[in-house]
Amino acid sequence: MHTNAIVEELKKNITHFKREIEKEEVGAVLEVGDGIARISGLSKCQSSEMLEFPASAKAAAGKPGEVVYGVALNLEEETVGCVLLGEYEHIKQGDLVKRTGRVLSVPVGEGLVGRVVNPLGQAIDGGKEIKSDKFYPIEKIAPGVMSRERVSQPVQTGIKAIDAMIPIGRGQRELIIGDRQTGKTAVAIDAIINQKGKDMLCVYVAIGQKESKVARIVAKLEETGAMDYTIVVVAGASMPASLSYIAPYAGVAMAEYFMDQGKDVLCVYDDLSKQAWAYREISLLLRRPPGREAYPGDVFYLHSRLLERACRRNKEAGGGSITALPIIETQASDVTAYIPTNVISITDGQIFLETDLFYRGIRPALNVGISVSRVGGDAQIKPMKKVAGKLKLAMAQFRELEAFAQFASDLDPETKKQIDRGQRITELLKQPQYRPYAVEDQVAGIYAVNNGFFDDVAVQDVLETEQKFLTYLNKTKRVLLDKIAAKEWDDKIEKELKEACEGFKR
Amino acid sequence: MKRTNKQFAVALYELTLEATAKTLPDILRAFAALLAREHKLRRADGIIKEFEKYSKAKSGAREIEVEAARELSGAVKKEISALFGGKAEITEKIDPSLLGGVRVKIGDEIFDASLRKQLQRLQTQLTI
Repeated sequence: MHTNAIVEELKKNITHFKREIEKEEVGAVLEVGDGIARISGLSKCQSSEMLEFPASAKAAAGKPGEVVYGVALNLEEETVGCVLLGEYEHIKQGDLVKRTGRVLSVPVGEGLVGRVVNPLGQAIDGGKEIKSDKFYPIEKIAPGVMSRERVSQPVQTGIKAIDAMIPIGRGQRELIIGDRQTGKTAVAIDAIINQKGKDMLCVYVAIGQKESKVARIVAKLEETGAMDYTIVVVAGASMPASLSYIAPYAGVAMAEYFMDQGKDVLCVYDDLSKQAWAYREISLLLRRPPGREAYPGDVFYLHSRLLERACRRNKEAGGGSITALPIIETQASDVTAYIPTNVISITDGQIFLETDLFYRGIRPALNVGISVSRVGGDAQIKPMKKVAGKLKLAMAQFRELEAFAQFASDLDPETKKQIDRGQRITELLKQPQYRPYAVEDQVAGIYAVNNGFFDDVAVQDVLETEQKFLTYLNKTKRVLLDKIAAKEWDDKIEKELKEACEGFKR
Repeated sequence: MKRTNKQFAVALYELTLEATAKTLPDILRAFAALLAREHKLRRADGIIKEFEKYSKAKSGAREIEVEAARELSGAVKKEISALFGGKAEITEKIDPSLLGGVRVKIGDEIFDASLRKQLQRLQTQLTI
């Protein structure tokens, strides 16, 4: 700012001096510890209001220490129980706590895209400070019935098995569930990478993850150019539990801003089991009564209010959508534990990842038998719907016969054919990480296998042959592929595709 | 139902409101007996504190804490006291870091008219 302006401002301030008496409402810290504090006073404090604690004494050169905020969670007769969003070592009993009059909110806007932020919207990627004049409260009631619309557009994850058999639509909530080390994050990251040029923004919320893993993911997203349309919200394992608790809400608040602009957003919560743990920790420290598995009574609401905010809004309400991909980590494949059953019942379907499939080399380790998508079918593009219908049937038959596969020589030709087909499909659905497939390529590959063009290829060579086939198609029949990508499908296109397959065989 | 210190204090205040010198000892005895019956005697200190606070608030006398950079003159103190109903009990505190002006604390509220606050506000205005 110019010197004159400062002088003017000072003058203005001096003339108004007497009128500006600031009224503050304060309380005193009664006890503090384990990331929570009890405060006396603050009689007018609202629920989930931000409270200002004294700044940390750890001052950087010449700058005052950063102010620590807390969020009021328990409003009791004489005291307020709150969680602290930051360092609390310097807070002492008797310290003054100020009301801010604001409920907890995060900065939103274009400035966040491509950045790595903490759940309070502060940059942690070493880049310049994020300045935003727009704030959204992290807790918001989800859009109501009248402003919603059915899910009708696809989210292309670029993963063959998912796009063909467990399709996800824009505005859907699809759970990714599995044990540790089964590739849950990989599925979500592939989906984000594949959104390039698809008019989608992505929010990746890492909750309680190792910072090294987050760093690796961010590096990968940068390498593939996916950071251009992605916000990464990190509540690392070393940060207080309160940040893990608010991280998904902060992420969805950032997504809601873009939805309000009529855009489509993909939100990945990795993972909600850790958020539930963080919330359990906070609740127990605040002395709320524990229930099943020591989770508090409102742990269902914790996830349902978050996932309800994923939606597809109709034109009258401004359009836009938020697609949610929550991730849940199971312990020893136990999907009947408390949190997995809760989240399964909230979401519109689930993608099951299994350890034994993973070790058998089927990657992504999807169990297509028990994975479902309850609404995504309507969102599939027509060509995919046509070819995937057959695929599902063949896979179902194959699963029944799979046990007999070892006695292949004793089986009748019909059964043997079904088993052969099933093995080839299973092989075709394998896919390396970070290699999303375009939807037209998926359709062509699946069509070729379905119609027996790969029957004479050895099972282990299926993927290689598919690659050759796709290179051939992209070279010679690009027009046809473009038509498929433009959702066109009729007898003529099918015939053309069939001829292309025959052409490739020759 | 768990009763708080404040509820006891309010009850005691209302009981003693119309008490005369003759009835007061009876009322107090009865109140102490009640506390003993409810096993609340060890909370007596807290209740007395609450009672003081409550009766002060009821009678309009408020405790206010005035912080200033320098010692305040009697006239200023009187003026501040008059602002809050005249009956206020003032405790004074000297805090040179305020630079100038006063900070008045009443219960849960602080009225900050110090120079430090004005300068802070100017700083935030200039940085945004």
